[in-house]
Parts: sequence; C-alpha cells; structure tokens
Amino acid sequence: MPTTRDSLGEFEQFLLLAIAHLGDDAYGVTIRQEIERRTNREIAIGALYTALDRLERKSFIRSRMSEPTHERGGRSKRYFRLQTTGAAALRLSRDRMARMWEGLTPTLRPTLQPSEKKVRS
Amino acid sequence: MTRPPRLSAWFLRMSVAPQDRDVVLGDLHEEFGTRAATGGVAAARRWYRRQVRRSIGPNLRRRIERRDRRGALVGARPFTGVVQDVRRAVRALRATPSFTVVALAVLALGIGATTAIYSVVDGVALRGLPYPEDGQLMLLSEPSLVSGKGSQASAPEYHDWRAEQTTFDDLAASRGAGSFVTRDVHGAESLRAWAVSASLFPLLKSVPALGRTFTKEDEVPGQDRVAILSDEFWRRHFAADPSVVGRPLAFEAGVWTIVGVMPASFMYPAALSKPMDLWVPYAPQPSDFIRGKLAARNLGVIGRRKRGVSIERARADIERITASLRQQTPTWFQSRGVAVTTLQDAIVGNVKAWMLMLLGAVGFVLLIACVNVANLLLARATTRARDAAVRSALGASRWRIVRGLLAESLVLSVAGTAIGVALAVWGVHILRTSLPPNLPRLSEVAVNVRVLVAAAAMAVAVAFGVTPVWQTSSAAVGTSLRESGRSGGAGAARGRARSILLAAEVALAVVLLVGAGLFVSSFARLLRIDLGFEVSNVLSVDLSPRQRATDADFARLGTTVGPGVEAVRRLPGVAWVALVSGTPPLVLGDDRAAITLPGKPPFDAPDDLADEKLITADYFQVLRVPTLRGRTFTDRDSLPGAPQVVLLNDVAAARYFPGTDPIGVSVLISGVTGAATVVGVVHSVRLQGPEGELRPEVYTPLDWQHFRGNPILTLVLRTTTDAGSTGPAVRAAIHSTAPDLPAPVQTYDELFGTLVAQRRFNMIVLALFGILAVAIAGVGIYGVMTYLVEQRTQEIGVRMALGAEPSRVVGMVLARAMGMMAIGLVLGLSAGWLLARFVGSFLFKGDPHDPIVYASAGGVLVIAGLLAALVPARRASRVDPVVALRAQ
Repeated sequence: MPTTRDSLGEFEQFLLLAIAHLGDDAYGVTIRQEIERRTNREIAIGALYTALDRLERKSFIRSRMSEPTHERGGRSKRYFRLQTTGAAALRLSRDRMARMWEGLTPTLRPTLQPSEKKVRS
Repeated sequence: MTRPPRLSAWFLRMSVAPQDRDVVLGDLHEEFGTRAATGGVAAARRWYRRQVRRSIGPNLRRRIERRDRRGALVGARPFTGVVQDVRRAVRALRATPSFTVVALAVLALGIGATTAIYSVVDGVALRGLPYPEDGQLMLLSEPSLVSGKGSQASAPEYHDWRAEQTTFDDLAASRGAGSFVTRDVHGAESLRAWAVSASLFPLLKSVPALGRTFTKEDEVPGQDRVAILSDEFWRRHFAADPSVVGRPLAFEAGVWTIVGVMPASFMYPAALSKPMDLWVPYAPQPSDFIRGKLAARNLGVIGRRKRGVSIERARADIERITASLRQQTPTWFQSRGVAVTTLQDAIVGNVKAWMLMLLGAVGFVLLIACVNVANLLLARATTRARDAAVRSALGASRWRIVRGLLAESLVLSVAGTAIGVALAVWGVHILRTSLPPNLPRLSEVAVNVRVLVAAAAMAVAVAFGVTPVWQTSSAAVGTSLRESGRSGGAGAARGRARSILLAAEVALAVVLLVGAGLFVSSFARLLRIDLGFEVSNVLSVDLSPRQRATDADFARLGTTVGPGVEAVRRLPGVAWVALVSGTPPLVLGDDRAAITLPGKPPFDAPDDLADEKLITADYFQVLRVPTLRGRTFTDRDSLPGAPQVVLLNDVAAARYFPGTDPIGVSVLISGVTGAATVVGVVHSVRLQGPEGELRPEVYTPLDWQHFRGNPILTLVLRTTTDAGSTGPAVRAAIHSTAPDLPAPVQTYDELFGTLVAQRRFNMIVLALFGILAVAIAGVGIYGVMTYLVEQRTQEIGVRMALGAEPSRVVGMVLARAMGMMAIGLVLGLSAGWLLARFVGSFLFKGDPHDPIVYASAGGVLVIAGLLAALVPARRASRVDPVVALRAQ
C-alpha cells in the first residue's frame, strides 16, 4: 500500500523526469538545463541538490562521481540514475494525478457521462 | 580566461557542505563557461551571482538537515542540547526581525570596521618580516645629521664595514637597478628590478625555487648580466615554465641570462607596496669604493646579527669602524651619522604607533557596537524574562537558561561577524586604495587566516560580553513571574541598567567624535598653510638620466633633451617652462650649500646651510613665487661667461644679512667657483611641504646646455588648463628627441596629495568612525527612549487627562533623554581629554585640548541624541488618555 512517504512533489517529479529523459548524461548542469528548457523555470543549484539528496535517500535515484575534468576547473561531476523504485513512484504520481483529473475537462468543467446526459435532457 | 565572480564563488564555497563542494562549484563553473562563451561574460556573471544568491539558503538548510539526521542516528549526544539551543535562538531571533536586523547591522558595522583596520595593522606593523629568524636582521645606514632622515649607506662604507665587522654573519647591499624595459607582442613594459649583492640570499636564508642565486663571479662588472625572476613575473611572462633557467631575457639595454626563480613567498625589499619583478647582481666598479668628492648614499645595507650578539654590541662594532674611517676622510662623512637598527623597526618603526592608534580608535567603535547590542538584548530580556521564568518553573536548570541566552548572543555575533568579515573584505579594498601609497608593506595587507582567527575570537568575546546573564538570577526569575508586565521591581532595575549602558554608549561616541574633530581640524590647518608657491596647474617631469648615467649621458643632455624642452614650450596650454637642478619643491632630498660672506667664516652649521637650486629664468613664474626685492634671473644670466649672480629667499637674507641690504654683495657658495653677486630676494618656499620649515634658500642660474654635476634635473611647467591632461603631450614631446629617458610625469597636486596622504587618511577614517558612533548611539537613544515611553504610557495618559499640553509631554521626554545623555557627555568629554594626549603626536600643530573641538563634539552628539529621542517623544504626546488608562 503506497504511503505519503512515497508521494512526490512537483519539483521532485520534474527532477526524476529530467533524469529519465537524460539517461546516461544526467548531472547537475544537464538536469538544470533540461528542466529550464521544458518548464521555463530557473532552478537554483542549491535547491537542486537539496532535492536530489532527498530523492537519493528515498532510493529513487542513485549517484556516482566521475573523474575531474578541465572545463569544470578540475572538479568532478556527480551523475544520477533513475532506479526502478523511482520510476514506480513517478508512475504512481502520474496515475494519482490522472485519477484526480478524471471526469474534468482541461477547463475544469465536469465532463458529463452519456447516461447522465440522457437524464438531464 | 574568464573566471566566475570571485566573491560569489567564495560565498558559495562557504555555504555548501564540504563533500558537495566540488560538484556544486563544478556545475556552476561549467555552465558559467558555456554561458560566457555564448551570451557574454557580463550576463554569465549576473547569472552566476543570481544562482549563488538563491542557493545559499537551500545550501545552509541542507547542511543543517544532514547534521540533524546524523545526530538522530547516533541518538542522544552531549551536544544535542546545544543544537537545540541554537535552533531555538534562531527561531527567537527570526520572530523579532526588527530587533535582529538592527542588532546585526550594528554588530556587522563594528566588527567589519575592526576587521578591516586590523587587517591593515596586522599586515603593516604586527606581522614579522617574511624571512627566517627575521629578528636578527639589521639595517646599517648613514642618516643625514641635518634632517635625521636617510636609510641608505655608501658603497665604500659597505665595503669597509663588511671587511672589518666581527658581530655579523655577513652583510649585503642592494639598490634600485634602474629601468628594465621589455618589448613583446603586448608592447613595452617597464620591469621593477633590484640590484643585490651575492651575499643577500644566503643572508636572508632564502633559497630559490628553481636554479641558483648569485655567486661572487656574478658581481664582476661585465659578467653581471644574469637575473633571478620573481615567482609572479615567472608565471606572468613564462607561464610557470620550469625550463626557464638558462634562457636569455632580452631588454632594450641588452640580453640577460635567467639563472633562477624565487618562490612566491620571497620578497625583497620587504617594504615595497609593489613587489619586484626581478633581481640582478649588484656589481660595483672598483672606483665605487673610493671616497671621492661626490658622497652618494644609495645602497640599502643589511646584516644578519650573529646569534648571541646584542643589538648594542653590533651597533658599537659598526660605530667603531665608522669612527676610524671618519678620521681618515672627514669631509666624506660631513653631516652624515651612522645608525644600526633592526630591519623590522627600520621598515615599520615610524608607522607602528600610527597603526596602533588606528586600532585603538576602531576598538572604540567595536565597544560602542557591543554596548548597543547589549542594550538591545536587555530590552528584549523584558519579554524573554517571563519565558525564562516559565521554563525555570517547569524544571529547566539555571545553566540551561543561561545557555539559551548565550546561544542567542552567539548566533547574533557569529552572523554579525560573517557579515562583518564580508564588509571587511570590501573595506580592505577601499583602504588599500586610500592608504598612502608609500606605506610600507601595503601589498601584504589582506583579510587572511590570522585576521579571520582574530575576527572569530572577537565574535566569541562579543557573545559573552553582551549576554545579560545577570537577568537570570533566581530572584529576578521569581519577580518576573509575579510582575506580569507592570513597571517596578526587576523592570525598574533593567531600566537602570539600560540607562547606564546608554551613558556608556554616549561617552564612547563622544570620545570618537572628539577624535574625529581633532583630526578634521588638524587637516584643515594643514591645508591652510601657505607653501610659498601655487601648487595647482604645475607639472613636473623628471629628466634625470638613468641611475647608471655616465658622463657621456650628461654631455648628451643638451642635444637630446634640449629640443624636447623647446617642443614642450610650444605646446598649447603650456604657459611657463623652467628647468631646475637639485631636488624640486615637495620632493624629499637635500642639496645644501654653505654660504660665505666676504671676510666672515662660512655659515656651515647644519641649520644655517642653504637649500641650493640651479634654475632657469622662468622658474619663479612657473611656481608663482613673488619677488620681494631686486630682480630674478634672465636667460642672459645662464650664458657661459656671464657675471655670476645669486638669489636669496627672505629667510636667507635675514639669516646672513641681519639688518643690512644683501643686494649687490658678493658671496661664496660652497661647490661653486668664484664669487656671485646677490641680485634679488624672493619669497620663501616650504620645500618639504606644509609640514616643513622655512629654511634659507639660494638660487643660481642653470646653464643647462652644458649641464654636468648634480644628477637631478627636473622640468617644471605651468599650464593654463588642468596639468594632468597635459602630461601625455609633454612626455611625448620629451620622448621625440630623447626616447630612452624614462621621464616620469607628475602633477604638483599629486605630489602634494602624497605628502598629506597619511593625514588625509587619518582624517577620513576618524571622521567615519565618528559618524558611525553617532549613528549607533542614536539608535541606542531611540531604543531606550521608546522603551521608557512605553513603560510610562499609563503615567503619561494620566498627565494628559489632567490637562498636560502635548508640547509639555514632548519636553518631558526630551528632558529625560538629555538627563541620561548628560552623564555620558561628561564622562566622554573627560575620557576624550585624557586620551587626546595619545593622538597629540598625530595632529598637525594642533592643540589636542582645543575647546572648540570638545564643544562641537558635545554639540553634535546632543543634537543627534535629541533628534533620536524626538520620535518616541512625539509618540508619547499622541497618547490617548482614555486608551492608555483602559489598557491597564
């Protein structure tokens, strides 16, 4: 039974989805850029890592360090990878959302069931 | 290569947890690089700063989160209570933002000012010299007996001292090596080079990072074209290439071979505001060691005292040798003494007292800040006392409650220190640019680990100092539960404590204001001094040949510089042009001559010697020095074979011709063959600047076309517009005919500015401190009066109900404020009076007990205090009696 511990915030979903999109190339810079490109939201690097830490603690993602590179001033990268539990959590979030949207049009009006239509008319 | 903004990067590095530092900085660095390449550096920097600004909060939160998790895993640890205390303190401080902001601002200003000044004092005066066993290093010099100045010695003395001394491991000599100009793709660059004897490096116990230092063979003229590079120059010009040793280094003057590179920590001379680029051998000619006619003291001579030899013995040793040399050639040693001091004293001796004075002044600023914060915390304790009492009643130990208060002070002071240090980093930048450029070791001034340790110590001390611990005595806890907010009891005691703190604050502010007043009035006095000539719109160009000038160099001056000077004369905006040989006004140096009147002994006592200058006809027009009697020179006086003439200033006329008219009398001038006739008397000039004395001066015509003799030749000119903007054109005109002359250009405004730089700096710093003190004290007065008015709302309501006019209420509150300030004023003025004697020596001809200064300091504080009290006073006058009475 899924608990509240497994529910994901919007920002967390963004992060997991960005990592899923990026595959092998998911690290701080690319994740930030991916979210920025798709949602037009600028993410502060500090907030990014705070959230990524939380996700790793929940074992939704795993990270590993790379060798230092020159263009980063001799510093190493931390690559992230989506785990099956993370993918499951994402799916669960989407499903819950979908269920919440069920029966609503995008303009937030209830969609009428054919049977109800008949009763009204 | 473009780098991310350094300060922002520093903040980020400080805020992010150590294990994430690499990754976070790396990410930003990488993206900064791509952004700089595509969108421009400025935009990339803006982006970087925005990122840092928005990341600091999450970073800190994350660190705290992590720490808490670790704590939770380990379970109850001895310091969990402390973490709790700190968190509670942070929460409490955030609940009262206006208090927190004021307290933080006051602390940050106080600590920032202190840290910045301490950085300067530490870098300049407190830190030892950057050499092993630097206490053994001594400076050997031959100061002028006239001025007491001069830290150099002559080559023959260096030679003989070194040969005969018994108390030093060794001696070393060095001097400026003249200009070394390199040309590469980036254009010409003039390098800073220093010529040093081979003995210098072993004497300083300094070893090169690469290659070797100089040997005895390098000191032989002709074999001396070898050079050792500074670390900075090596990195800048050779990109830290380790194979640089043995390579040639081409200058305009020839090719030198690189033999070594010194480590980054090496610096010599130690006292430079800009370090050297390279060192070359000091290779004297054998003739340099002969005591001839020209006594040039141009060597810096240092020695390393043998272990176990006292300073006095070393001094006696050198004095003994010099005394026997003096017997052999007395004229050589005329008007020169001998001095042996530690190198540290020689470099910073005369600025040490100044530095400590600044430190003392800034200490007062810090003290005021602390008193103010203590006062604010005390006000806060009124509300916190009930909280503490409840906790105590529920079983919290007294220690636990004190710890809570301490935690609050600690959080405040640590945060204040962090902001203060950031302010100090910025402040040190400003201080470095506004400090006198000739201040020794200015380049070593920075906010470094030593300074940060001092700042941290300060934070802890402040935290303990401002905590109102006495608030938690068990009696106070008992009463505050019963008190339930009414005035009286412990509340009244707190009110008294606050009044005492306020008086202290006022007293400290008055002391600083008195200091500010003394320095401001001293500087104003300095600027009012009549120099005897007009400084503005005068430009000077140093035409002296290079240090290693030969007779041929001098002989060529007429043909090389002559046309250039003529070209300068024709430049637009140039009104008058003259040449002067001998040190020009406001430049330090003494070229002095003894005057002999017919049939009398020469005036050769040090005080009677005249400052001698050789000048061309328009010299007095350039400087606008008035002629008092007779005439000045014409061009004809400079022609070869013209009758010898001389001008005196009024001091010389009065000294040498008391009560008689000097015009027409023939006098002898030492160093000039034949008698010269006095043709005029001119106004005196303060040659050494506003603080110099008026001394006898003599002027003789300069036949500069056939100029030999004194190696100092200066072109001075008066411009019709801003002198500084004419500089480049003048320099270009000189270079059109004499391209190899360095010809540095300076306006007289700049020269004057350098002379008064230290006093100007003192004035600005003290005035800033004064303003800061008044502002902080104003905040304090405002806070206390607001508190008092709140406490007395009920009483004021009653008075208003009984018919008191609002103006009377205002008057009552202001009178109360005045009463409290009065004690502080009296204390502050007396303390200022007592402390003033410590700053007396830093004032220019000033009375440290000038009553006007004390009166205005008191006046400024009273006005500021009344203004600060006016807000709560007016609030009191608007108290609605009904509301005030019902509130009880």
